[in-house]
Amino acid sequence: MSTDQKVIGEATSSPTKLFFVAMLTRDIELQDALLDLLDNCVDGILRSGGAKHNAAKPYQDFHAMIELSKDGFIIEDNCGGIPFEIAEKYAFAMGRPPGNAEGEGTVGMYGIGMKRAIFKMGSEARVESRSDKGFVVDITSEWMQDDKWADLPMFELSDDEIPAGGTKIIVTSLHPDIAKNFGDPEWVDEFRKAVARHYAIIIAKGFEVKIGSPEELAAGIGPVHAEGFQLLASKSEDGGSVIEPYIYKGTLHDVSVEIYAGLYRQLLNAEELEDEDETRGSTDDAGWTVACNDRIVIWKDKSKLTGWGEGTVPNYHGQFIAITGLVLLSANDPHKLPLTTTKRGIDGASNVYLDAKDLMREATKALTSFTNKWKKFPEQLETLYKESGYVDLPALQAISAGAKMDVVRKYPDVRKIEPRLPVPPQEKTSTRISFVAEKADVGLLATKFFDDIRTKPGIVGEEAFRRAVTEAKR
Amino acid sequence: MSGASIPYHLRPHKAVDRRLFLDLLGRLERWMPLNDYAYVSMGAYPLEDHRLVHRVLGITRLLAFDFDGEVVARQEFNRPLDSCRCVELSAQKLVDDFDRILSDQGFGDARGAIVWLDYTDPKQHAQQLREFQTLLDKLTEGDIVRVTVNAHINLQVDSAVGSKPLTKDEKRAKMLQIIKSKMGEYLPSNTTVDDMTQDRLPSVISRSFGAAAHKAFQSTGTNTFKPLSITRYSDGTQMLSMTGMVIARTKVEEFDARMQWPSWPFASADWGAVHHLVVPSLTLRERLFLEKGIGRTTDELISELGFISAADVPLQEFLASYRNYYRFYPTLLSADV
Repeated sequence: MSTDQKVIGEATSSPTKLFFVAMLTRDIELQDALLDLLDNCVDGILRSGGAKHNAAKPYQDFHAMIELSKDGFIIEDNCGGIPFEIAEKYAFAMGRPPGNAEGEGTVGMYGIGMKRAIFKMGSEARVESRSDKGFVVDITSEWMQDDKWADLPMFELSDDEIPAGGTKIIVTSLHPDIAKNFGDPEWVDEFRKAVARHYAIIIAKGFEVKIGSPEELAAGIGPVHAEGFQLLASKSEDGGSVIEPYIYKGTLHDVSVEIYAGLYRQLLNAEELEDEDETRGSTDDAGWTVACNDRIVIWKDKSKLTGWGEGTVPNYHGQFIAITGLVLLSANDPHKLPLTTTKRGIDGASNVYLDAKDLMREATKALTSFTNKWKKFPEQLETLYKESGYVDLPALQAISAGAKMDVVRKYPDVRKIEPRLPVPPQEKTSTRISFVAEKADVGLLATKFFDDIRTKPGIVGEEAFRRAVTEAKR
Repeated sequence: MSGASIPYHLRPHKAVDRRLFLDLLGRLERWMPLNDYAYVSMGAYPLEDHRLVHRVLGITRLLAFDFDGEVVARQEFNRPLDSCRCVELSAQKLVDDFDRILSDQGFGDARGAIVWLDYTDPKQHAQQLREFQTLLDKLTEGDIVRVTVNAHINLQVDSAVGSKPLTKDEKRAKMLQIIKSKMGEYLPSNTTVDDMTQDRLPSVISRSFGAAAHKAFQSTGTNTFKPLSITRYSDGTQMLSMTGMVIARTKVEEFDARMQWPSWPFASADWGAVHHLVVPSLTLRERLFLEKGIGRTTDELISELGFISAADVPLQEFLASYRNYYRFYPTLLSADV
């Protein structure tokens, strides 16, 4: 094509509003859209410099309140407010221009969270905020339906509305399905649980989130409790092997990485394992959790996404129910993190994550071998468990701060603590027998040996074998 | 001794609870006739509830099940009518193959299903929740489900470490930890150690079943599983019974109006509304006296009775609820047959 060719028309290339309002919102679940709004609250704290960085609870005194009903949605926070210039230039624009990242440890990077959440929920909205200068912006249903991208007028906020540092977003004219969800107390409680999981670290750092219907909030409903993360650890008196977590700490591609993996509960015995295979009898506490700048994006995953079933690591199975791990990735520039736009899941092709996954697999493999070795000797393992206690995340972080760590050959900027997990002494001399028998016969022997027909089949089998061996050795 | 093996006449609360269920089913006939439904319940060996649903509602498609072949053989002997089928099945198998089992027993043409899962094991709440959810996944508008579970506090907690008994606070913390590890995804988000008491645990469990129902019927779907009546009672061990129905969301308002819930004291509008049944065993003379005097004040009745508690139940508390369920109170007399 040459520049002297005659222009005969102009092909429209700007996005239609329908694309944003109808399509973009399909790619995100409602819960995730609301979590995006909470992310904006936390980013607000960091942007306004309100976080007390070196304190144990850097987000103390910051809170958000989410009111859900079939008639509308309100989120209100005290996290610093939206600065007037940002509101003018970016906050209501679709996407963030290059070079205008939020910066310093935030998770906001695409500039679509607030708009997408509003479009997802309803057709009318009002945003009020007071940072350096208070403002109100109304998004009307006429604006939503009109295909032009007219700028939205900003109005002055009167003094009695919104305290300094506050933001309030109100969405009304909810879409029918959204109204049904918000009006259903069970859905609202599911959402609370999602916040308890995805905000576990941020809440533990002092941020407070209250979620409820107008009535529940008026009645003083308490804040969401964070889901805790803890691993078993035991102290060895004589320097012998004990149950201890795997720890990796360092930097990969300018992203700071911390990995903690270990056991959080007892292994299943043979009977429990059989139940577990039949139905999922226990909860899904096993698996890997991954957080980017404290925001949990993967919760207790047991798939290839977190290295299960890759390389020599076995696929997840009920026997590995005790294995759990946490990966903390953090960077001042959120673009370096493997975040996706929905912040549920992870950019699995990112180099940071692929390298971190090497380390995760190493820990998972060691822990699966440990459980494989011990499943034959549950009683002895129980003694080990009894000597162990739970260690939470701050304590795990303290261990890695104080201890001498080994080098990871492949990644010179990462150090690790690789525990010597105990090995059952008879591992090499023992083997496992398992077989099927007639119930009536088992009952017969149970009564003969133990005078109790309800004795567990495994115990009856062991006793029968013991007697047979004694007889043979005679 | 497990609840299942205690004779029914020694479990007055269970008897009252069952009659309340029957009364609820009777009330549901204001909404739809139930005589063409299939009734599916464990029933234990006496098949008492099968007998009652047939007598009261005229239901003939009766299915009793138990995982113990001996119990099923005994059920077979006690069948209240010829069309009652007794099969050896676990609850899990029943919910997994619900449609096939109904049609195999010749009940595929039933207009709807009433299913009662009567559990006793206090350690299997997680599995019971999952079976309940699996069953709901297979149900359609008009189907009715009742679940009874153990809701007794601390049955899952070892009461001592070594020789030292656990303190109340330690027990509660332990109980919460156990319940969280087992029912985590279903547990209400605001559950705390303060809920680990005999009075509050039933509501926690009930709301967990509500969460399971929500997983089966999402807020945006056509149908919902509406809780109708939730009760707790104790014949030694505290039990919790939850009854609900699958109904189209658009019909809920009309349904509620037709049922006239305000005139039925055991209705539960939500999963947290658990009614407490308090039923001391009464002598025939006491019972007849109370029935005759049901319109008088509690103080008058107590002063005339001349005692203030019966079998550890304070009469004040008992009489307050007795007015609501004296109609269902069983008169259990020993008879020499």
